[in-house]
Amino acid sequence: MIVAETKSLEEIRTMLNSYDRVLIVGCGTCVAVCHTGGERAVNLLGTTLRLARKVEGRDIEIGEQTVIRQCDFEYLDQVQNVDKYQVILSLACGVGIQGMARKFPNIPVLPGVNTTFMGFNEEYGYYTEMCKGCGECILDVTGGICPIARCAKSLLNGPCGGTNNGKCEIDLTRDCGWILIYDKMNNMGQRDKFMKINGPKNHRKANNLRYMDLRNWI
Amino acid sequence: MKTKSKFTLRGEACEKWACEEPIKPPCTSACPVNADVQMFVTLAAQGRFQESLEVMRERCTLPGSLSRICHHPCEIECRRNDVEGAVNIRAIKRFVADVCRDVPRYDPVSKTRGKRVAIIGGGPAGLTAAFDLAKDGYDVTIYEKNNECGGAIYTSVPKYRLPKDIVVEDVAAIESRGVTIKRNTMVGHDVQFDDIVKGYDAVLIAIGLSLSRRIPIPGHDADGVLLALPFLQEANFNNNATVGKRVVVIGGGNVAFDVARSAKRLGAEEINLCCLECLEEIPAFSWELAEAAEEGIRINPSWGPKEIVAKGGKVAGIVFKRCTQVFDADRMFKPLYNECELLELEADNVIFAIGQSADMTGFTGTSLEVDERGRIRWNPATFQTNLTNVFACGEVVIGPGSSVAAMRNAHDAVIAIKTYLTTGKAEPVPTLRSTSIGRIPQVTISMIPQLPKNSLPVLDPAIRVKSFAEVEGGFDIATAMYEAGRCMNCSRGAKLGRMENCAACLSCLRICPYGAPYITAECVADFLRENCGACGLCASVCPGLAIDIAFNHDTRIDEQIDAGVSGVTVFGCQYAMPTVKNPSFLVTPSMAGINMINLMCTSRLDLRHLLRAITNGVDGVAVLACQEEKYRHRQGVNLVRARTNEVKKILETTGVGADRIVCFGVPASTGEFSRLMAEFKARLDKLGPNPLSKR
Repeated sequence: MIVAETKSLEEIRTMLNSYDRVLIVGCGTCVAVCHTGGERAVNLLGTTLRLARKVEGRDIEIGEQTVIRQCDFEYLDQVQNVDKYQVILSLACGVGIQGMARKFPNIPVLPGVNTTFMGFNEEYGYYTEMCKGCGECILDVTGGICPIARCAKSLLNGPCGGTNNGKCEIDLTRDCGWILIYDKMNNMGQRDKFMKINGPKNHRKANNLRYMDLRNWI
Repeated sequence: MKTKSKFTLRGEACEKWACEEPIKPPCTSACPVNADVQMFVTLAAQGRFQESLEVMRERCTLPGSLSRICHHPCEIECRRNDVEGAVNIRAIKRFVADVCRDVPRYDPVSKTRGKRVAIIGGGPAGLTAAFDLAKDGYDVTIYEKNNECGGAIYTSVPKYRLPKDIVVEDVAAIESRGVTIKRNTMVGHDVQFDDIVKGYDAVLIAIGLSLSRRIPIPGHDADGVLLALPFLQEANFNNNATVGKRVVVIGGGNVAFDVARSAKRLGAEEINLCCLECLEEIPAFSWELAEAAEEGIRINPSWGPKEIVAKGGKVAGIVFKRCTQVFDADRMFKPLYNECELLELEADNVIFAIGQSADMTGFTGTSLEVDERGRIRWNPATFQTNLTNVFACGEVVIGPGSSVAAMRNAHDAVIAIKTYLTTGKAEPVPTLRSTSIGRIPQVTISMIPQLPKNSLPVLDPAIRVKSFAEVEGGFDIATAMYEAGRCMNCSRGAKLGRMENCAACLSCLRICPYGAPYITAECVADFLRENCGACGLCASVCPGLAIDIAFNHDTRIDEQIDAGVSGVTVFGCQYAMPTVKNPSFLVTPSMAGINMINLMCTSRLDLRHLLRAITNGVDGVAVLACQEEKYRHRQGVNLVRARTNEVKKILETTGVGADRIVCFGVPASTGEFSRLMAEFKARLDKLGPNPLSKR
């Protein structure tokens, strides 16, 4: 599942400052699950923006729609009355926003969210990153646990010297990905695979462990 | 096919839900008159006593009286029985009826139907029919032979159980609706039945069973042999009523216990109650047996009367024979005796309490048909007698039972009469469909916080037998509201209202404290109704707004929010409200400048509600949550606070000001809510009006 977080209200207001007719379009799949793109989020953001404009003493017309997915052209046919608006604020992941931008080439499509990671739904409102989409999957030799996403240093052969009682030195609340991999391989009787050295990947930039915690929000 | 509910859940509930869901809470399903028990209990929990009374009266026409005598099957079925004890519904009803005694009566309903209906007999059945018909615009006249309506509950139910002024007030409320009551008017004597039949569009006979029966055993006519109903009437209305030192009561029903306990209060020292049934079969309610035993009445099961011993024409004693069987294998009354085993009791009085029959003298010589046993011939499906426009209902046709059963029969009879007056035909009354929600699953019971049950106070047996003073006392306001707050709102929970909006995110499944949501074959979430605690946590987190809650749903909350355009809007947990303990506030939810919105649980509140109030222009919003230790839904309190904080951030960012919203739990001390609200209002005064104010 793709996880995203709503942009700050200040940022959204700045983006929309020159517009008075805004269509907010939510995405009812991945980012709805993390409470960023579904009908509730669309409605909440719309209410907030109206409130902000009222305080400013300016009028704003806001349309609210939600489609199943913004990453499929066919669903985008359901977006209606676009001509009434000056701008579309998309509450979808980056893929969906770009889909909207392609679908409606004559109207600005602005991002209402920051797409953060591909995550696993651990419990209500708590998601952890599981995959970086690196393009060179080695889950077959790491017990189904991705070292790129789940090791703070994205080590291909770990653990590093910083692991401490199974936790990561970058974030002591997080499990060390490589300890998880070792335990899993050991349990499966495949420790020999663990001994094989994985060749280097071409990481373009360093990754950090990412997570998103909404449990005390809504 | 979707069936429209026969009941309107009144205002706050979701009409759509009521239409689509025939499933009722067990209290309502078990209630003989199908009163909307859950609704009047909820309103009582919110301190809205007058509205609660109005809901009661819709089906339970004599709330003050019934709250004292009803055998409350609603409580027997209450799902809290599986947790720590049923909600004391009868006691709540009694409190509401008592606290509203000073409430003005109804304005008469205009008689718009242009049809006149006569009702013969002003007992529970007749009064119920009169109320229903008058409410619907019919011109109703009751012919009552006594000086006051109420039938047996007025004349025969002992004062220690039901004070007579309570009945009089219940009747007055019905009369105020525009019902004409001709008191002291006996049909066949003061007015002729045939004249009534000619003078009205429809006639309803609801004369009950006002005559006592006796068994013609030797000595049955001796001096000192009494009949139950005349005896009870004497005890109720004659302050000089007397009875001998030794009394034997024959019978095992509730009336027999009324007789025995009344005799005790009239000074009898040795009271024996003898009945055919064995202890397990005695038809009286178990609490009647217990209270009678407490009062020193000796219960002798499995004895049938053989003969009354008279000396000089006066009762001296009675001989019983052992009863070995009351009913045969088909549950038909067929007593068998062992004539060799005898019980001899000395007695100054023997009182028969073995059943009642109807007084049909008023119909003698008329064309009303009676059967070979002297009972009215009627069609139980259409309530019609042999005379086209004459109907019958209540105990005179269904036989002896509870008052509430007779009232139910009257409600149905009214449907039949209205059909006849509208179409000119008598048609079968449709059977009321009412499916009860299932029991609470064992796994869910352990998740429900326990709230101990309160019972009504009762007079000490040694004191209560000295007078006809009412045995039971009532609740105080705090206890009544607490007890009402124990209601679990069964069947008012979540359902998947918009399947197309379900993102299958499983937020509901993960947040539910009771394990109600599950994944359907269509891979969306739906809810196990039996498990649902109706807290609303799931609906308030659903990102797709796909979940409906049966009560206080979004649309209704929005309407209530929109009613406030200035001052302060308070979102209050109905279960926090009892802790406020400020009756004036509770009875009148709309304090000056405060738009009070009662929520079944503040878990149901979401950010959009809070923002909507601010957008409407109110100066501030307060969220009145439960105290943390009292929260019924353990995850709820943190979420409510988190939502409030999130709105604070939004208000800060938008320039409205974070201080315009506050969330507090109210400690259980008098005036605490008022103090906190005064502080909040003072803070708002400093801030000045909401920039969005419409003033």
